[in-house]
Amino acid sequence: MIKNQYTSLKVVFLFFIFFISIFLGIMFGSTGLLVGDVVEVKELLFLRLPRVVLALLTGGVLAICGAALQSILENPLAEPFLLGVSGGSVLGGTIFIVLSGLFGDSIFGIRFFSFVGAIGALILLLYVNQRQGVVNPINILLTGVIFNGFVSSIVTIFKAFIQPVKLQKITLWLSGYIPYLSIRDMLFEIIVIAIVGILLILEAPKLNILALGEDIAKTSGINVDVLRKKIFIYTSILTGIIVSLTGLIGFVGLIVPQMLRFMGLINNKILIPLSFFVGGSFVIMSDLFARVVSGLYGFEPPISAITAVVGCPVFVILLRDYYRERGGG
Amino acid sequence: MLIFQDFSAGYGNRFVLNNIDVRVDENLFIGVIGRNGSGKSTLIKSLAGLIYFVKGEIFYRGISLLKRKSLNVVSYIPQEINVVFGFSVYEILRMSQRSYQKFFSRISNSERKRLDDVIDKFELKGILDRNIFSLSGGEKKRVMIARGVAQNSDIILLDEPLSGLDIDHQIKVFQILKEISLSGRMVVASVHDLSMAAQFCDKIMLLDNGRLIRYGTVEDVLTYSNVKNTFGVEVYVGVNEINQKRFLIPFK
Repeated sequence: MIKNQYTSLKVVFLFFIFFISIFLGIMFGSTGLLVGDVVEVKELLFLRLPRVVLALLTGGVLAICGAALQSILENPLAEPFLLGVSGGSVLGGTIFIVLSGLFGDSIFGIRFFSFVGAIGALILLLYVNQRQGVVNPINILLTGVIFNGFVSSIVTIFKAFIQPVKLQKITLWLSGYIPYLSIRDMLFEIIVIAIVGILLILEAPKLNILALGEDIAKTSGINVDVLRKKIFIYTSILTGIIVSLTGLIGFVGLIVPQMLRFMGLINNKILIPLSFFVGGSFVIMSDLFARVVSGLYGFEPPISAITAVVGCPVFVILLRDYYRERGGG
Repeated sequence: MLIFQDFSAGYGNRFVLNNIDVRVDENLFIGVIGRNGSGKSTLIKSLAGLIYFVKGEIFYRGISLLKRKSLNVVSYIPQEINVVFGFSVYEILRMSQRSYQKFFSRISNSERKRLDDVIDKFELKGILDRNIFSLSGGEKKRVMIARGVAQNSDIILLDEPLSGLDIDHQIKVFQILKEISLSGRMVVASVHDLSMAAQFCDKIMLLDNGRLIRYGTVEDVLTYSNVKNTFGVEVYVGVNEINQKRFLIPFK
């Protein structure tokens, strides 16, 4: 069997980085300290570990969704926040914050409302796309973008009328953050992510064939419409859950799969599972950076700002090399 | 037997192909010829099950080609090749096999044999680990034709397989397709080069303006008057003394 001889080496290297980031994520706290007598084991297990797990899930899920969407939409620039579900989630969360005086004020409220918003948006978008009979990638993109535009204008209207405290809260939530939640608090989400994530990964070989062209996939015995619908539903559920937990953390879903492709890891069977770990490392490290800054300067920068600041230059460098390799094409 | 029964096909709500009624024997290499826009690609795509606006029926061995759910009876090689990601040539060939579609299943011996066979026939050994994006247009085309041939299908459908190939590979590809048709699979290809069609195809379908004007042997179809009437071009139809096949030279 012919295989790229460096593939396993690259995979090992990326896993090495993954374990390092987990290690650092657990060892460093906002006080900037390593483990030792100052930090109790309790803090380690009940505060940092769950936060690292949540960061891993966030980055991992956004990255596998990005990888899968880029395949079904046959567009390397697709990412999870193009799906309307993220808009639905944002709308749900915003409505909760606006009404938070009525329902009390808890992180669970935001999570519940934004998850309901995501599911609502998924059903609405499926219904709209379904009417044409076939799931057309362009329609998925367009309806998602239009829906998100609609939602963001509603959020803007809300912002104009609410108290400054709530406004700040919305802004914080929209720019993404990794909250301290215990593993037990996230258990439901973890189980759903595991199941849906595995279902998504199992479609990887079919996504490879789809990348040869829709007509070739269809004549290879793949029901392309069903495949697209499945991926659309899986990625929507996953993205909805993640937005409800951590808000909008941009760039991970776009950059991580692209970065791996630039490294020559094209095969979705390797790319999608690996995106989970690399996306996870990326968000763990970004979150760690945010915590260290907050320990040193007393404020925590929004995590999506960090992912963008780190991600953009890396992406530009990779893109340049990529085009050089492809001879400008 | 492949049977078209009053078959029409098109896009949107306009038929491009009208009332095709013909019976085609199996184990043949069939060339589809006609002017641009005469419906060649639509005919090939209809057989591939890729056209949804259809009327009438196409039966293959008594089974409707239009109503079946899975389309693995055919392999289809499109005219334009748009691979989205830079897979290696081997990976693309590997994707032609049924076992590939399951995440954990391994390649079977018969599948491996089919792959080795096309790699050998299409002379792809030297470029197996090359990125598809790094290949020339002609090499890409050969890889995709090889992929279609490697697929375990009864009918191989090719939309202008010769475009982009050099003369050496044009002949090699058509020789392989001819061998395949002799070994019991059906090959249907749209062809622009009338002499190539005359040298290699068993039967010719001549389309004009969405209608099947003639179906028959090279000698019946590729005549001066048929070509003049459909293409509006005058050709000299000669006979190659070496193999007694026809060739056509346009002169006016």
